Amino acid sequence: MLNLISFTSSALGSLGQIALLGALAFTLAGLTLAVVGGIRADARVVEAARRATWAVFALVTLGILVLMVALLKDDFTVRYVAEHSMRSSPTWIKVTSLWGALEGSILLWAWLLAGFAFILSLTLRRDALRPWALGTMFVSLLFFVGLCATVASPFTPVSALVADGNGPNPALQNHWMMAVHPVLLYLGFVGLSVPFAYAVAALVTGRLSDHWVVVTRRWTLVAWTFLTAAIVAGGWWSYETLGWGGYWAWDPVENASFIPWLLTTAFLHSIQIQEKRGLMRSWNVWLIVLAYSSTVLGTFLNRSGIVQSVHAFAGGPVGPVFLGFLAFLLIVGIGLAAWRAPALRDEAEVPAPVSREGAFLAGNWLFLVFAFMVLLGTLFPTFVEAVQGRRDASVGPAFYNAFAIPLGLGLMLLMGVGPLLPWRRADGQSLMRALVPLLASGVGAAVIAFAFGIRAPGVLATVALAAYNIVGLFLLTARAARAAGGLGKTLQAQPRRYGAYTAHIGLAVLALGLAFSGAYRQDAQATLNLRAATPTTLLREQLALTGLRQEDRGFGTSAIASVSIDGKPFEARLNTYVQAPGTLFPAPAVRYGALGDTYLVVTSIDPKGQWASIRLIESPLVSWIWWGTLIICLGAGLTLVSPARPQARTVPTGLAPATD
Amino acid sequence: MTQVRDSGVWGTGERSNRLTVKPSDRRRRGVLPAAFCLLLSFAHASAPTTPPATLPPAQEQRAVAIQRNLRCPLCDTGESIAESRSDISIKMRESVREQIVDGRSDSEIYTFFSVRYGNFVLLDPPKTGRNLLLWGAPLLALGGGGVALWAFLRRKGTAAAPAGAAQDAEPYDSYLDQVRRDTGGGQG
Amino acid sequence: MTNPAPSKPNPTPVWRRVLPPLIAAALVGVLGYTLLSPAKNVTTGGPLIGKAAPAFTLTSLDGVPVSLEGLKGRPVVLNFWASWCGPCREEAPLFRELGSQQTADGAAIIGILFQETKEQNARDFIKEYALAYPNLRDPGINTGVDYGVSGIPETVFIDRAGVVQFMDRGGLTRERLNAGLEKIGVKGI
Repeated sequence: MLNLISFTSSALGSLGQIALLGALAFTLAGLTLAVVGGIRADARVVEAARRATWAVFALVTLGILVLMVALLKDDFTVRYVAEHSMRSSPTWIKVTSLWGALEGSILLWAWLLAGFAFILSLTLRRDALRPWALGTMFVSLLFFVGLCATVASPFTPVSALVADGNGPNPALQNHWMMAVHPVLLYLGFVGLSVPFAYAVAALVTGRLSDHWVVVTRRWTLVAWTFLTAAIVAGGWWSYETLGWGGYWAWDPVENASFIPWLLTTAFLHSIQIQEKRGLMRSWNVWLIVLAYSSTVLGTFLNRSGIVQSVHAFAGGPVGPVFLGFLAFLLIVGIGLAAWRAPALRDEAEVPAPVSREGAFLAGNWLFLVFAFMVLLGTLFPTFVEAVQGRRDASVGPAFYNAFAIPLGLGLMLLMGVGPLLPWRRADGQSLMRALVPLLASGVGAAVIAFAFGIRAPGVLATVALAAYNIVGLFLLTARAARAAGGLGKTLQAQPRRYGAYTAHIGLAVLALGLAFSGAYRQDAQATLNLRAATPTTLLREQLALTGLRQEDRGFGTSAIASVSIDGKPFEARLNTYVQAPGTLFPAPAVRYGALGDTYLVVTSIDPKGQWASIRLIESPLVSWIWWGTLIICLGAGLTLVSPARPQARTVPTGLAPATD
Repeated sequence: MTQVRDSGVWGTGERSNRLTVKPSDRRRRGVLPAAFCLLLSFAHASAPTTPPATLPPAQEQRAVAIQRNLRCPLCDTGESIAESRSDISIKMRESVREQIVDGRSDSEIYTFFSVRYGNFVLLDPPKTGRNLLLWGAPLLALGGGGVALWAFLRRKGTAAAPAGAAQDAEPYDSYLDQVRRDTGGGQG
Repeated sequence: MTNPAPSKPNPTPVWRRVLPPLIAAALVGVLGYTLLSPAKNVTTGGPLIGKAAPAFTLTSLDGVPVSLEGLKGRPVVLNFWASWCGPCREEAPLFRELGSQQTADGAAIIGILFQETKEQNARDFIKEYALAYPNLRDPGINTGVDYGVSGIPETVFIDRAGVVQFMDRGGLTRERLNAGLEKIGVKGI
């Protein structure tokens, strides 16, 4: 049995532990109440379950506050603080240490989940779905709260008191983005638990309503926006700290966040078919179940260390516990979906292949294949290991890019067609008329790019498709503005549509950034001497080493190389931290530009202070990725902020509305 | 020249000592697994190595492409030898260039490394044997999905159930029935 | 809306209901197996096992050329090491013990330096542990690459016919050393 509390050794620790155990008790009670209330259809019992979420949220909040106070007060009687913090860290590092290691990050996760459960409890309607949605949230809560109250508790007693803690993970200290990225990611992952709860409720009861569609779409959109921001923030972190000038390496950790993104994006499109036409109901439920399962799968893969290194996490209890939750969720969730989703039948007629629905479904097809490909590539080495007994396979960017580039281009093609097409059925001739200016602009853009010396076929295709998308959206907007009598009016009338358009434009910008920086990145290395008479020429730039110095920062040191590149000063650092002596964390100097970044990283510095080896990377349009993401998130926000009041329903007479 | 030695040592099963298990950190370049014996950077940084002999541009491009597809055999991070700063990766990069100068083909060079380090180092899995599963499955999914989508969109009329019948077509469920009565005849 | 219609258009076939959970269960099974089974062959095995040992001719620290060819007919224990490596220090006494037991036609023990930074350190190491067998320089790590060495210590056990029978990565213990020796027909220590 775990030794969970010791009142004598730590006051704060016991308070936190009691709060978490209390939260666990309320979670169990809430789950029982929700299930009983659901089965007996007893509103009073369901109400009790609803209020249990408040207690859980309050107690987990208390727990996380206790941990925060302990971190800020350097209370090393609390085990998590002793293991993952230290006195000399700056305050912001102490704050972010809260989610800088396993136990704290699970606590943060549980807190966000409890917060979402709380919000859900306030917004849920009093309908048949309510007990089951609550119950599903309680199942997720049971796992995360249970984990942080027991095997992964940050508050279990320390064996011996220490004067100073072990300090946080240095990688966390190396860039402030590491403080933001995990929180965004958890918000995205946890956000998906709410649509999942609605989906399970729909499966259990066999009922869907208009309300269901609106609510799941909004929650998913919120989660999707956080997920998008989180993925790109992770890429930016990687760009800013890893020193290889890239932002995406198809690493299992990255893939684990990308698979839910793909599935959620598919859902956000196909849910609109359900909204407008009452179709694809079971399909949408499936997508949510799969998206949420993929977040848990991804978390399991990362936490257990199963993917990259079999012995990374030997003997830890969290791996098997996560596996148990994953098994439960996958088998029960998918089993429930397989058994009950057919009950959610569609009412309307199947759409014509050439229609808005058709484009959305084709997009869904590509998104799913994409997600499957990424999942397969991530797990293939694990499969081989299971069969052969040792790691004997790797899947690198070559595999992923071989599929991702054509799939991505296909999705961009559909992305341009979709908004042009009417619901139900398109008239071939008018579609062609609408497509001609788009295709012409695409071809024109590609020709211009070709004239400027661009030869990579993938980049040319991206340029063409980006132009085709942007011109298409522009024409649609212009036409709508003319019809409505002003751009402002149509924006007000259809904020959701223009939010989606904005997100699409952001995606086109992002795609251009990916294509150019991927294909035209240049990289060169040299060793610069402090007393060199003439500057070194690298990638057509003049480099001169102007100074080397060492800076003591208390919690570590920085070796700083000042380099002038074409007369502009750059200061690239090599940081070391007291927690990991001898390990160097590069902090590249990056000069962001609208058309390209100049990226300087020091790879080694002479201990006698005479020379520094550097790597210079020039990559075009990298900043378009960050700006594109900002535009996407703004667009997604625009679709949310506005009241999603459905206009005149487009369901034709003679068909029942999309409700049951 | 490297400063950080990605674990020059086989950890004795103590890789769990790694600094953290946070999701994104597992990718840190150049963090050692609990190695007791890394070379301390500054002490070790001797004079920079001479720049490698230049290859003609076409060969240089080939060399870089091959280096990007070979995994650093001792880095936990999954990075290629083109990115890695470990000594073994530097040596492997040299070896790739030497073999290109010797006129070996790409596949001969990949084979050279896979017989020594195992298929583990091949980041671009060759499309043979069991890897056909890896390369084929997404194509099958694409094809199968396409067929299913087409079949669904062509299914016109056959599955269009009359309005209202949908809900009633599900298996009888006493609870559902109860809920429907409670909530007023199935108006959600 | 609640008049129960007996018509059931296209009931979903059972296989479509059973297959997805089965796939999910299989996935969980594979993941669980990989997670929970103790990692096999992590320290042993490799692509060279059962193949002819790559030839080498290197010079020892004393300036004597040594080639694998010249040791044909004897079992060979090849140890890649460096003075800066901790596990190498821990296993060095085992090699001294093994070396002291071998007769002229017994196992030949060869040390190969891997990424040694200062030759003097290696000499001090040899003196400290009183190693009597030849230790070879491997400039450019060519032999290291030929044997697929990426980290040290790594020990290769080659039988009398010159075939690699066993490889061990990481610091040897007495048991692990004996396991390798047994594969090449040498009495353990």
